[in-house]
Amino acid sequence: MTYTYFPGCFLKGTGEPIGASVIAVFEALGHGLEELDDWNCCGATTYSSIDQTQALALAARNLSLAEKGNAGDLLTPCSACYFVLRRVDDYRVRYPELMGQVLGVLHDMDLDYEGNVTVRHPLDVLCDDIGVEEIKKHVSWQPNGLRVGCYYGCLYSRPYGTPEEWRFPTKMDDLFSELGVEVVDFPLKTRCCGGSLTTSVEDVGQRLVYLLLHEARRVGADMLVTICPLCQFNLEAYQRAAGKRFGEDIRMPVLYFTQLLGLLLGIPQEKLGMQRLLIAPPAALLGA
Amino acid sequence: MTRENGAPRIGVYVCHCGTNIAGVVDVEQVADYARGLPSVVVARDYKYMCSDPGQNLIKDDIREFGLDRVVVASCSPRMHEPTFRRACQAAGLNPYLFAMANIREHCSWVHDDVELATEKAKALVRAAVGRAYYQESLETHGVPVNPNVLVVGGGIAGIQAALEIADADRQVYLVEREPSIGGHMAQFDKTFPTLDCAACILTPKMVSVGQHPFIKLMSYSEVVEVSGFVGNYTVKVRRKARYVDEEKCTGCGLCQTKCPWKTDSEFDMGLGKRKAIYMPFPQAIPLVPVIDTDLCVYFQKGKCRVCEKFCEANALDFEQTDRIEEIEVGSIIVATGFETFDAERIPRYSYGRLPNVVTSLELERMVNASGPTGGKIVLEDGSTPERVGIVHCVGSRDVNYNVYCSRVCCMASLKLAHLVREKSGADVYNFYIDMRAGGKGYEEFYRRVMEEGTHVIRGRVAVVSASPQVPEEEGHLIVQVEDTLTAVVRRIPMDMVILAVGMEPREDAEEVARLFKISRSADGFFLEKHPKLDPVATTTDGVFVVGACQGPKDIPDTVAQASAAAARALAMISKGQVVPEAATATVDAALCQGCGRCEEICEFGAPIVTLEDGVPVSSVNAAMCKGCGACAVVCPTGAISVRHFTRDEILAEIDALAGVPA
Repeated sequence: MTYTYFPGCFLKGTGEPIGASVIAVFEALGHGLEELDDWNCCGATTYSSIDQTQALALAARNLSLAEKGNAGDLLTPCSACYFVLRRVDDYRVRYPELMGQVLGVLHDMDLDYEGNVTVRHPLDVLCDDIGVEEIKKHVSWQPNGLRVGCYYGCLYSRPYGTPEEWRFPTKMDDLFSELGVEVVDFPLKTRCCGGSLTTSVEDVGQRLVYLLLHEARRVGADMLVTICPLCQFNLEAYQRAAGKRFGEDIRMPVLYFTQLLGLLLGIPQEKLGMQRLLIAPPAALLGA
Repeated sequence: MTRENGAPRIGVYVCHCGTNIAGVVDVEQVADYARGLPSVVVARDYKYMCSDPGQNLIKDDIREFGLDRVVVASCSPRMHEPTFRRACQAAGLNPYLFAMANIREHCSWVHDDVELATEKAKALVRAAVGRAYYQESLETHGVPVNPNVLVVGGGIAGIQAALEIADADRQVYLVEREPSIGGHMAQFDKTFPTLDCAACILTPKMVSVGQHPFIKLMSYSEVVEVSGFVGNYTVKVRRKARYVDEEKCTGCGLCQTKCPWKTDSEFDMGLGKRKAIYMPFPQAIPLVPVIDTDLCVYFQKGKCRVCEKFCEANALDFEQTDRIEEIEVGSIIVATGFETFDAERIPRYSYGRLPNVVTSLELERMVNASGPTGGKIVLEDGSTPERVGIVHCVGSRDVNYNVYCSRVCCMASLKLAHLVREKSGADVYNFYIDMRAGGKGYEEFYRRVMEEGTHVIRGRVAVVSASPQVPEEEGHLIVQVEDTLTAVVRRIPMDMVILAVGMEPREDAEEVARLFKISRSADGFFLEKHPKLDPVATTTDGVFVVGACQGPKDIPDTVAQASAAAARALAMISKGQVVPEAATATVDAALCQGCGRCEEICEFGAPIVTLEDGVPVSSVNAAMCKGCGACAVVCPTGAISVRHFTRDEILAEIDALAGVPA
């Protein structure tokens, strides 16, 4: 089937290879992703702390457009977009007064939102809708002797409409194990990657980056896979600085999960944006 | 509007309730207004209508003015309806000729505009007067009470209740689901705050239950059906097959010694083993083993029966089957207890994932001298911990799990802190949100445990992990917590972490509630009739709830409740009869078509359709009827009406409220 797709700003810029890998993986499994027409900023970043109504209205506009197009599911690979868009549905129920204002903004644009859109992460769509068994059929390659740590980041497991067990998610661990990848127990699954602190409060942000990478090494991972583009960016881009600050020589490749999945499905490296990784992928992946 | 027996003479009494009502409602104006209402002969206002002089006003007026209806405008009928009904009765007026207007909870307490509140009070009085006009005398009849009592659940609550009643020479049936009575208390080592050993104070009571001539202990049994009504319940109990004859077994225990098949012991929280034929613990009452047929190789594969070979009493009976026993009782005490919160539900605390993260109940078994480790505090590798953390409020006081406080965990955690220190010499850290030590001797115990050197850190634990950040953390569990008294995030390495799991309703609480026709509160525990003034009764007459099935509570409170329920049951027995509410549903047989909708809707099983001269007709068992009116609403022909809530009464009340002229 064809899913309505919300890439978010990051995947149109620095995170472009991630978006490419998501599209490639869905295509390889026989599903299309159709970009939501005329989408705008999800309302994350500083908006939320400066003007809540505006931030929510930005998010709600995207949902409204998706609803207008009868999307049903709106798929976004960015955990920040996922979190911010899902928050709208939570606030609809919990803060009707605030949502009244948000709807007022939508009405000014001749839009409306009745709550008929479910915002979904590709990990959930792949595991719950398409299913591991189906994905297995398309697997054409397996890495040899590669030990992978699965890292989910905080935004996927935040409270908005997420079930209890997601607070310690294991879905990605299970997916890759099932597909024949050796998954190590990486316990800091939802710990903060530093978020925007890596740029605003460097010592704190880099410490958070360091703790994750250090733990990945400690548990014997050769690389990390993540489902959040921002985590992927932070852990890669600030890896050298964090290592230097804490006196540890870390070289820990960090892939977005559809990049690794794409390799298993036999998708060419370039199509998955592997050449644009800042930390060179482990040798075991080069054979893919 | 016409009435059959002439215009009534109504007296209206408006209560000030100190300033509770008079502070917002102009009570004199209301009384003035009432004087002008049809059929009102006298209207007065008075400071406290419920006081003796207040009641005397009513009694005197009934006699002097020949009143045949009384309306009191005061508080909720739940508060003082019985008071004023008694006053009417004392003056020779049928209590059902009394009506109440609630101008406190429904008016003065929820409004602040005097003028509007006074208008509303007038309307409420007008409605009550309109209704009183149509009220009729009702007679109540006593129903004899069966003096036997059923106690469900053989924990400390059920044991206490059973003993109190049996000691008054009344027959008790004590039904326990497990092979032995004792409940959770039997698993504990010491009890707070006195530190007396749980077994030392519990086992004598268990033995008394086992030997009591007035207690019939039905262990390894479950209630499957309850029918009847207050004073006259018929209860079906499933006696599960234990495959051991209780009469013949001497409790020597040789069968379980010889049985070759082992599994984790439920009683020891999986820390120890038990056999396929087993007694859960050495002090079990009855001291008769059961066979776990899932584990027993004879039941699974048809071969073994080693137990039988060694049993000198010849007590094994592999042919036993479940059987249903029927008993007749007058009242039922539900004491089904609690379950502990499943710590795996909070993944941050790593229970079930990391070694040496244990629950408080597991630790109870570990510190117990007769437990699986002989009272030694040991880590999974067999060594002794040097540092132990105790996390309070696991699953309690948390909007993601249970909002309520489980009430016992603070004290139980302090007790465990003391015992762990005493038995292992370890440094103990208690992580608490608020220390709740409200109870006799509790605060003193808290102080004592602190003085012994136990660390107490105020803060909800964020994570229990095994991911070190500094070398000192290597190889340890790490408790990360914000110490909220110093506003510092701390990471403290531990060898063992104990999760003080909260109390929850039992998994089958919904089913049990339905079985006994009782309700549950929002937290899932069984609902008492009144949270303050009727804490052990339920809305089903003759059914009482005691102990932790009604809400988290400690042993002293549980025992107090159990004794209270026993007293209530004995009072019923001593009175010999119960007087059911007269405001019940009644069927006009001439209008009834026998459709049976009343039977379907009734939660209490009061209406029954039977054949009268071959024609189906419904009738209502007044003893079982609660007067809720559900049947009257669904009755398509209007054959059912509820006494004291007749159509005339309700419509007159609504008309008067809406200002429709009479």
